[in-house]
Parts: sequence; C-alpha cells; structure tokens
Amino acid sequence: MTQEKFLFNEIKLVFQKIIKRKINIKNKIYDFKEWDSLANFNILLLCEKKFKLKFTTQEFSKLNSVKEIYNLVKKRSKKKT
Amino acid sequence: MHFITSNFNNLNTNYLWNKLKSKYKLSIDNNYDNFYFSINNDLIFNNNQYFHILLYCENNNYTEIKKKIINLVKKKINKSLKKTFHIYLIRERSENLKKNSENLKYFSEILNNLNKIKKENLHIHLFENFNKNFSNLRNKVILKFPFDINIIKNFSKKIDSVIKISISKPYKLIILDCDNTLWGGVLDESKIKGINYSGEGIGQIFEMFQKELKKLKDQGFILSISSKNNEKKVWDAMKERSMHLNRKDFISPKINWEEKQINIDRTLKELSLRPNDTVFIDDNKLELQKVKHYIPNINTIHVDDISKIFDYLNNDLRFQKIKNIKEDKKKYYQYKIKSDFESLKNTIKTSKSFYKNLKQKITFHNINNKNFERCLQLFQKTNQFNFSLNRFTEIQLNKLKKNKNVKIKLFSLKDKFGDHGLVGSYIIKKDKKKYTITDFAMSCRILSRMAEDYVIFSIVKEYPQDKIYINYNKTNINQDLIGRFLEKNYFKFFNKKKNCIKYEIINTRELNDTRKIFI
Repeated sequence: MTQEKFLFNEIKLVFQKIIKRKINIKNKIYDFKEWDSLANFNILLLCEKKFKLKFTTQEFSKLNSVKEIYNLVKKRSKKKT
Repeated sequence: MHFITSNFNNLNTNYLWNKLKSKYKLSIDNNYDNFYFSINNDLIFNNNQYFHILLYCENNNYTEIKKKIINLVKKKINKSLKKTFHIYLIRERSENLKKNSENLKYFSEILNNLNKIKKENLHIHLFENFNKNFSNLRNKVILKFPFDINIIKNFSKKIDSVIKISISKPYKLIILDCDNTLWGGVLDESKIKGINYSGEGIGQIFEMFQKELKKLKDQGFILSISSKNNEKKVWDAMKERSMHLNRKDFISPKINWEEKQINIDRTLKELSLRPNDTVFIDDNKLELQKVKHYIPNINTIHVDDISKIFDYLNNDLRFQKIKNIKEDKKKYYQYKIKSDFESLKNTIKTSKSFYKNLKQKITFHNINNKNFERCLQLFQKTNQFNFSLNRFTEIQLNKLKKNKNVKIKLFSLKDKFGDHGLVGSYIIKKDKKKYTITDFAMSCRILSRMAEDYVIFSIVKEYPQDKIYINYNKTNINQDLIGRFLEKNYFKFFNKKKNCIKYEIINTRELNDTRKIFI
C-alpha cells in the first residue's frame, strides 16, 4: 500500500469513529446529517491527535471537506518526514 | 440519571466523553453556555437526578457567573433537596501575578457567596490548571471550548470519581488498635508520658490522625477499639495526654488480652453490623491476618507507617460521604443506646418482663417530604433485615408514593434509653381484599426486641377483615435473621415463585401478646 493510500484509510477511520459513516474523497460537510459543524470540529481534533499535528486557527475554521483535510494532512506529514 | 452542563461548549459528541457515557446513564447538554436554562428547564430537571455543572471562570465573566449561580441556588437548588448538584469551578492560573491575584479575588468571592447560601444537596469542586497545555485560545474562539481537547479526559475522570463516591457505600464501623495506631510506641512499655502523641516529630501525625477520626465520627462513622492493653491505662493515657479522642467517642471498645478476632466478633454482634461494613486498622500484620482469617469479609488497613495513613483515608471512597443526612449524625448516639441495651440484656435474662421494662414505644408515620430521604436510605442500605432487598431509586419510590393502592409507612422507636429515630419502613400493596407487604426493612440496630413482631401485629390490626401476605426474597444477605423470624407461628407458607416466597400472616395469640410489651 502506498503511503498516500494508507493516509486516506486512516482519515476514513477518523470519520468512521466520529460520524459512523463511510466517506469518499468528494464528500464535504453537511453531506450527511451526522456531519454537522460540531462533528466537523471533532473530526479535526481527532486528526490533530492521530497525526500529531496542530491546525492553525485559520485552517481550523476553513477545513470543511474530505479533500481539504486529506491534502492538508498529507502536506504536513510530508514536511515532517 | 446524570446530566452534565456547562458555561462553555462541552463538545457533547466528542469521543472523549464516550467512556463516561458507557459507564453511567448520563446525558450531556448539547447547547453552548446553557447551564442556567437547562437547570430551569422542567423536562431536563425532572428527568435527571444528579446535575454536574462545569463553570469556567475567567476575569471578565465572574460577575455573570456569580449572578447566575446565586439565582439558581436560591430559586432551584435549595428548593429541590432530593436532587444533587455538583458545581465544578474551573479556574485558570495565570503566570501574570497581577492577573492571578485579581482572578483569585473574584474566585473567592463566588465561593464565599455560595458557602453562605448553599444547602446539603450542593457540592462544590475546584478544578485548577497546573499544566501548560490547559487552555487553548483557538478552541476558545472557534469552538467556544476554552481548553485543550484532552482536558475532557480530566473532566470525565473528575466526574467519574464524584459519581463513584455518591454510589459507594461508606463504612459503618471503624475499629482501631491503640499502640502505634492511635499513638506511637507501646503504652505498656513506655508508660503514659513516653508514648508519642502531639509535640514534636512523629507524634504530630498521630494527633492529626485522631483529629481526622473525630471528624469521621461527627459524620456518622462509628469508632470502636480492639486492642491488647490494660483498659484503665488506655483511658488514663487519653485523658492525661488530652487526646482528641476520649472514652466517650468509642462504642463497645474491647481492651483486654483476648484474641482480637474474638473481640471484634463480639463488637459486631453487639452492634448487629456486618463485617463488610467494617474496617479494622492495625499496625501488626499478623493480627490483621488472624482477624481476616476468622472474619473473612472484614476490611483491613495495615499501618506500617503512620505517615501513609492519610493516603489510605483519602483514596478509599468508603471513607467519604457525600450526603450527610441528619439521621447519620444521630447514629453515634443510637449505637451507643444499642450497646447499652446489649450489656443490659446480657445481665438480665431475656423475658417478657425485660422487654416491658424497656418502656418501648413505636410510632407509625406516613411517608412525607421530610422523611422521604430516610425511607430511601432504609431500603437502599438495610441488608440483614430487608425482606425484598429492592434498592429503590428516588424516582421509583416517588412513583410508588403516588400510587393509590400502595401505602408506604415508616416507624420510629423510643425506649427508656432514648430516641432511636426512624428505624424501619414497609410498603403494603392492596389488591381487592388482599394486602401484601411487598417490602419490609428495619435497621438491625433494633433487632431482637420484638419491634418487628409489633409492626406485623399493627398491620394485622389495621386490616382485621382482610387477608395479609408478606413477600420474602431469599438471598445470602438476608436469610439468617429473616429466616429465624419467619419460623414464628404467625407465618404460614403460602407459595413460592422462583426466589420469592409468599407467607400468609395469621393472627395468633402469640402475635397478639406482643401488644403487651409495648406502650
């Protein structure tokens, strides 16, 4: 499995835990009734914990879709390595 | 049901709350800064029993918080004594000294105000940050959650421990050794002046320990002694060294050269208490093991180093009482009467004239708001003489109270030694012309003085034309005393469904005779 695929799977697991749904890369906030603003924050907070990174205040208020979250996490983890 | 609310966004759906959610029946407020309205909301208020209010205090919201809580306490909390409220005040410690002292000033103001007006059903807990990762400005601005996300773990830990204390059963009896437990050194060797108590050094810890025991006694724990010593010397030592505890503080103390397990066994029998509810504190491991061997269910604490004793006291939830109801405070006095009664019973041969001499009087009371708490406590805490062992919750008992076909009664006992207070309760259900005593619980403090017989007699007298039955759920806890009680000739086996045995009560001459014993 490539690193990118692995990362995406991990993000899927985060969503699974918080909104109990399977997601794809195109999904965004309010696609499901479980994914409301509060759930969105819970997703971001869990990502921070899981991938050991911190979103800035601006990022935190703007990240609203799977794609955005995935891209940012990918970018940050590349920097680390 | 527990309800958690706060003056910030408590992220009710966050997974960090899950552990607490899975452990207890609880709901978390899903509105932000909603504690004032939630408590005032009738639906939420009536559906829950325990309320946990998390309040984050910062310099600019103190006045608002103060107003809201004082209003809540006066209008809601003080008026509903059957519900329990826990307020967790969360204060942020600032590195800036000026800010910190300002913050402290407001904080103590809230505490002072609350302490002046609060009643027994309100408990205040403090929550201070001591680590750097406590607050988080980003979360505060965007989420309205002013802390780092992991702080939820700390909150749930704290709430968990509070819930645990409120459901744990406190010890009833604390049995102490003297040498190297109540004071340092051995009294028989060092003489009164030589033992370590107060003054400089280790003696101070023993003094602190006695002070703590005195506090526990005031909360309703019973103190007793089991020590291999000379009794007179022990009391003299307490008097001469003006110790915090003295002879009057102990109930049925056993200070002699007999084996400790025999002494403890006697004390337990005299007070009709179970080893489960007793803790024995001693410095000698061998003695503890011996006692534990003969009385397996007893709890023990080994004091090898007296400076660690406070760790034991603070960590064991059974030394903590969240609710101190008035009956608990009277308990010491009542057990004292019980112990006097037992010593009298041993000297005079038990007979009807003996009981008559006691000048006992039983008074019956209907359940009302004043005795509701005691009734609940009787059903929840009584073990040995509890026919059903139904542990009613407040909501369940309230429902029964409103049911027209159910009567809940309590009874109190007085005798020539004093007033024992409300000692028992029973629930009687009407079904056409049949009456069934579904629950009957009586404190074992007053057993073996025919009070239980008299209560049955009074019930029979109340419904002379009707058939009366009593239900008995046989378990290991209640089989000894009740088993013996049911052997009397006024109980006739009726039927058995699983563990529940039904007896019919017959009005025999023997039952009628109990009337003569009471005033």
